[in-house]
Amino acid sequence: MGKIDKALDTLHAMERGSESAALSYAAGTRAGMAVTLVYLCLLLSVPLQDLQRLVWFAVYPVVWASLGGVGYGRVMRRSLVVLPLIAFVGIFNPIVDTSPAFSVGSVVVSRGWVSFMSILIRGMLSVQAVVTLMSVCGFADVCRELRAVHVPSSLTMQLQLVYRYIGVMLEELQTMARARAARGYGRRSFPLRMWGTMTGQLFLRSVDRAERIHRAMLARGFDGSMPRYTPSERHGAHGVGSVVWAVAWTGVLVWLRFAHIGSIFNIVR
Amino acid sequence: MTEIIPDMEFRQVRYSYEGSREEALRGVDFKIGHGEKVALLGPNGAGKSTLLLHTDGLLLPASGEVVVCGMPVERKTLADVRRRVGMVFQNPDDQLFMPTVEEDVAFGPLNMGLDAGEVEMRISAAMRAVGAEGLRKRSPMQLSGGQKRAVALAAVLAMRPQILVLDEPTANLDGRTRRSLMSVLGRIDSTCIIATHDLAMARALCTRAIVMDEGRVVADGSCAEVIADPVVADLLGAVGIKC
Amino acid sequence: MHMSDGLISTPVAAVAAVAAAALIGVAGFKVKKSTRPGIVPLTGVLGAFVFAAQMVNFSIPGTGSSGHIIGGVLLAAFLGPWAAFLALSSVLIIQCLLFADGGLLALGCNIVNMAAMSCLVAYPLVFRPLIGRGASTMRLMCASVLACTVALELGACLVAVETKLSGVTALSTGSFLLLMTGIHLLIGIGEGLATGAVLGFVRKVKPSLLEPEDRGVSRRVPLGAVVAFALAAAAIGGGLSMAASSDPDGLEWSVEKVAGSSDIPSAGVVADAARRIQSGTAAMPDYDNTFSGIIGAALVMLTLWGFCALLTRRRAVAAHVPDEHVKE
Repeated sequence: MGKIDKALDTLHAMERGSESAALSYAAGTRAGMAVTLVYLCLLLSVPLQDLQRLVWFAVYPVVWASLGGVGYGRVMRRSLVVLPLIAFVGIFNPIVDTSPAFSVGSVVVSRGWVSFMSILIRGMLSVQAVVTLMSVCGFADVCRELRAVHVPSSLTMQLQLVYRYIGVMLEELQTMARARAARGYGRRSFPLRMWGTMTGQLFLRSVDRAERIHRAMLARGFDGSMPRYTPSERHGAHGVGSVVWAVAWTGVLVWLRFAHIGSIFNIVR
Repeated sequence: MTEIIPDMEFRQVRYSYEGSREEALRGVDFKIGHGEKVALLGPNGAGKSTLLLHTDGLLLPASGEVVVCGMPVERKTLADVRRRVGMVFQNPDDQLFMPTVEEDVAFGPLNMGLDAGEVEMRISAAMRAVGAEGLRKRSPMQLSGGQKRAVALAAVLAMRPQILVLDEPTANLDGRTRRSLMSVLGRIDSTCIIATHDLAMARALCTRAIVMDEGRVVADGSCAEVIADPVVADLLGAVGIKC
Repeated sequence: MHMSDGLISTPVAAVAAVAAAALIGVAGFKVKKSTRPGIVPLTGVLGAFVFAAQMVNFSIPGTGSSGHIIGGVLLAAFLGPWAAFLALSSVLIIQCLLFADGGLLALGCNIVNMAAMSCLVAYPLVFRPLIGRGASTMRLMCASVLACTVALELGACLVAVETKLSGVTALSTGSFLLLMTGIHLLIGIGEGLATGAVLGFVRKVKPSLLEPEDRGVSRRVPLGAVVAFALAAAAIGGGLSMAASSDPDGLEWSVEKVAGSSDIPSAGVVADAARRIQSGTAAMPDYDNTFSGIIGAALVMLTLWGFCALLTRRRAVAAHVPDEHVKE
């Protein structure tokens, strides 16, 4: 049941995050989405042995999260959840690959360990980029921009509906689970039959709710396809400012990906 | 002499739900004129919600006819009917289905094919009418019960319906929110049909009352008279509604 | 089974993304054409339902283990394959964007591995033919278990293949495949039992809600075809594992195997482009992989973070929003 509470908290935090960020974000949602995509493509093409370059790639989430008003600390913390899952797969690398990469004093670090660290860092940075995007721009805006760039409305409509009703479903399920927890069940999981009944009841209520929603949609003129809405004040600026922002960041990231780094720190060696 | 066309007319409407042997509506018959504010009263299960669903063509009668502004309600007139009739349902969570409030309020006008400028005007006007201007960018998930009801009403008002139909608008509201909603409804001058158990609100807002029981209209007259009728009081009081 | 971006490379992600996008396009088209009234809100609400259902664990009496469902076969049983695919894809996208569950570039992979395998493969090819018309509760349960197991095993195989092709793991393909399919066999059975439990309950209470046969993919696929399909999948997986070496450069290996030799100048546009990317990234034979280089970069990042945080502190104070949710 802790999972439901945590999910609800995350949902609410995301909402509030994008509201406060709206005050300071200037680049526009579309630019943010484009740069994040470029960032991820470049990040994931960095060879696993190039650990230092991966660390440099942290610059985008660090700067954007701070200037976007969300705060990098919060974003970093949220990216930690992904570590156990990646580590589970990545841990085989140091076991299998023991050829040496470099040495720190008398300790030899193997290529396996380097690639393991790289996997962890890539995983975290990619999550940080997405979390920052969503916290700064907000899900509603992202859906609208997707629609604006011709992502099929069938998908964007579903994204909006699922997003809207996740909170409602979680709260209903929370009530049902709590009622059963009061009888001593559900500390970590419910017995199969009880789970089946509970989920089945939630399903039936969902179907009824969907029918009521459909009636409300019909009553307001719904004919099967979603109308396109462009709010009068778009989130943040758009136009020249956001294009400059996007081009500048793309330039920085491409340079970061292909530049020959390392000469600076050789002096310090 | 030109005959004045009533806004809403039910002619011997009968209806039963799929799989149910009992009729939900057994020959309902009434006329509502332009500008009238009518309270629809009756115990639970009397057929009030079923009747309301017929006003907007969400259900079609098994026999009899529903006529809206002179137009019979049938499959080919549904779009026009729904332009003229604005329906506010019981549960606001079922009517606010978009990620933000302004998208919900824009939904109706956009479906009507209005251009962006007109849509924007309608949103502002509707939000102002219900006193919820500051809520535009919010998600419905963050609103309180009263705020949700206000926004649901705004979403319907944005379509500028000729007839406003409401299902239990004051249910589960605290005193202050209820009073503010009542004052909003009081300022609206379109024809209204309000299904409710809230007799005080019915008396305050409506000039006429139609009472239903077991799918039939059992009383139809001026609000004050109907509510004061001891038979009606007994019927309504029988389910714990105070007069 | 959500794959993180840490385990994927850009070319693999791109291919999977294209496949997923194509399937979503078809699904959108199919749902638009559907004559079922209210399919749009139903799909959305049931998507939200399955998201919530994933949050609560069930335990199988007798074993000590508990788990949660993904819900592809369950959704498809009510919505039909295409609407269910759309719903589950939406759930996966939202999980990625809002809950950091699965990477953004890995979305294509996740949608194919989880949504497509269950809704578009296991449901029409395994579940529907086994159910037929008016199946008994036992048959319903067996069909659920079989369909969910197939769905999860196919997904697990794909995860192993995608990770290996990305050149991220030093494990051999064979061992990785074995690991993934072994784990997911039990998970698949669990999901099948849970799916069967819900379907059994709903069928008792309101049987009309289960997708009627004439609306879905109703051609009866003989059991032999299902078995042949499973054998083919096993053969491909086995073939890959037998041919696999423990070479960590998976992409280079697969390009070599496909093109015959990595020296062949042109073996198709895709191989060409892949080789160009590879040579571009390998243009620096000596990465600065020294300890001091890495630490130096990390220190610069920390300093940058501190600088940015100081810069924005004034603005943040003015627009402070508390972290805890205040219930209204």
